Amino acid sequence: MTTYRAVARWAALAILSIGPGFLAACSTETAGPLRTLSVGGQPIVDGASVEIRPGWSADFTAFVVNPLKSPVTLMSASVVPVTGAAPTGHLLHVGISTTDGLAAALTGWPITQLPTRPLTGARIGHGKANIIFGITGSVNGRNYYAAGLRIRYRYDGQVYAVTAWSATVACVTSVITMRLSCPDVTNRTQAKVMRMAQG
Amino acid sequence: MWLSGKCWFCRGQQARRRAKGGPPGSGEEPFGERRTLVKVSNGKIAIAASCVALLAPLAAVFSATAHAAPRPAVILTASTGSLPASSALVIVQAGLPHGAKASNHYIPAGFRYPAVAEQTINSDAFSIGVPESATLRRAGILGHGIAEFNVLVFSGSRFTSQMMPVTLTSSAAQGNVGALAQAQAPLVRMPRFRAFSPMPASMQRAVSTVRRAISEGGAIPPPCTTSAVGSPAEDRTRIGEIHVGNDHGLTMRWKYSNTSDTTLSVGMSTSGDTGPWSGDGYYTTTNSLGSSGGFTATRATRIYSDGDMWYQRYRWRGSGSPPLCNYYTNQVVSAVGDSAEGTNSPAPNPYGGCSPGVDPLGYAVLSPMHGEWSQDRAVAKGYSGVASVFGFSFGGHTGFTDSIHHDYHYNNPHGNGTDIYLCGGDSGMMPNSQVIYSGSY
Repeated sequence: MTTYRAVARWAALAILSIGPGFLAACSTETAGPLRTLSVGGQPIVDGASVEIRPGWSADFTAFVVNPLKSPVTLMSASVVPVTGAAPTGHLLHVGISTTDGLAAALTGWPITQLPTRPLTGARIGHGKANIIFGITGSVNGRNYYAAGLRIRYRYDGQVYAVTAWSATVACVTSVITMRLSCPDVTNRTQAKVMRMAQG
Repeated sequence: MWLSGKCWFCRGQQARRRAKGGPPGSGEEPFGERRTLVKVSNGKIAIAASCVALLAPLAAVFSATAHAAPRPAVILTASTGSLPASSALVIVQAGLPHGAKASNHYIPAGFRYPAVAEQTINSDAFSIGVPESATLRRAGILGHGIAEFNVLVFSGSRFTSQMMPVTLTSSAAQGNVGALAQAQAPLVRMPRFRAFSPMPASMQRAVSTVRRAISEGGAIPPPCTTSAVGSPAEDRTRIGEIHVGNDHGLTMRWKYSNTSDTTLSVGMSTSGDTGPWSGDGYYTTTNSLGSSGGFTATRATRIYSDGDMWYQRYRWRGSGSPPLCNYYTNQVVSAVGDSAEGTNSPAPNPYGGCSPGVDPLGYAVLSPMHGEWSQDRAVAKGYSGVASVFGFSFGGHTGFTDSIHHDYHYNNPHGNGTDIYLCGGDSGMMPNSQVIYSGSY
């Protein structure tokens, strides 16, 4: 009886410990054909920051690459939090650049110099796509972070998800002065996200 | 073919054995070597058997095209131009540096170049396989994953040569597309060789001896050795360029960090250690101090960025008598890893500006509200005439790493600043252009 209980206890433990991981693994969408922008197999992670007033849009760019000749259909985008940096920015806007331009670090939406089309339902063909997005935060004096965007898309009847890395910080301040309110934050965030991107 | 002979599953076993028996690279077995069950003992048979089981389907797939000989670690293809005689002897050597001439920088006192492959060719275009060996592995370890080959071609009474760095591991590629391709596929296309030049009489006698030995019994050609001539020289070397537009509040911080490899041309002379020099391939060196450098450029700046590097001349001889090699080289041996403003100015933006649609390599827009954009992994541009040392003008490039940043910061929130434009230059679409222009600069 004791042996039976011990076995049962171990079995239950095993199920409890393996189960969630197993379920998570099953529910996690694979990257599919879309790729993170990279050179020589190493991901490219730009770092960017800009000051905004509370609730304004801080605009940046993330990139994905379609190596296929046939297009894929984008479905949605969500912000990827930066490991070890909080709070995470709230995604306000996202679109696909219709030019070869990118938002290095901008404020406001829409961006007149960078026309976009909606991400949801966008079909992107072969090559690099510039995904322009705006994040925000509400609390004065806080920095809001994003490691990039998680892009869900459909190809050949399957749904996949790929991460478009972009280390970005929206520095929220009600008074914009000549002095930077978030010094050195870009480099630190970029280093963190680079580590995330390299796995 | 290759896969069918390998057991990647067994590499942990190999690593453990190396840990017991000595440092990596000290053993006799090359990485990814062919192994047999006979060598496996005790419980390792089970692991080996599992490898066989796992690889069996692959082996079946590849068996139809399998070759009897093992796949070479590296295949060098090249063209020498017209052969002076009906045939030529090609010898491939791998560089093994030794000694250090300066305490702070690894400047080899010399190199040993044992032969790792040889072949007789009858046409100017050839392809030669370099098999895996302990020597090749050692060369890769000493070169931080990059093997420095020296390829000698002897035809009649003339010869040509070329030094060729080849990346052996993906980790050593550091983002360099070409280097990664070398690490992933063994085929390496070498630049065209310089024209054949006359061999000194002693070299002709050495080549005859080597040829005879090879034809009689397949003897391995004797190694060449190099020893430093005189003192090394440190010189500023061009590694990049900075373009900052004339916008109030705009700055650009250039950062150059410690993993940046530098590949520069090699000068070669049969006359003496003062030249005249002719190009003899390339040599790759890593940052000697593991340090980083950089500086901040203010608005209206257009300058080159320089880094300090060490150069050394070497006398080439050989262990044979007479020696197979008998000439001098002049080459970069160590990159300090610092960075400072250069003395000259690069050309301005050829498109005159960065407005949308002007530059075919794309554009980026930056806000005056403390907008900051740090472009990662700016692919370094190659230059001719990066430095002139001991009478030779070097060319090449640094970088192709994740350690070169172009960090633009625009701070003009209360002025009349509007969004500004940056755009790509030389090659590569933004954000991965080799050069970044700022407005008309």
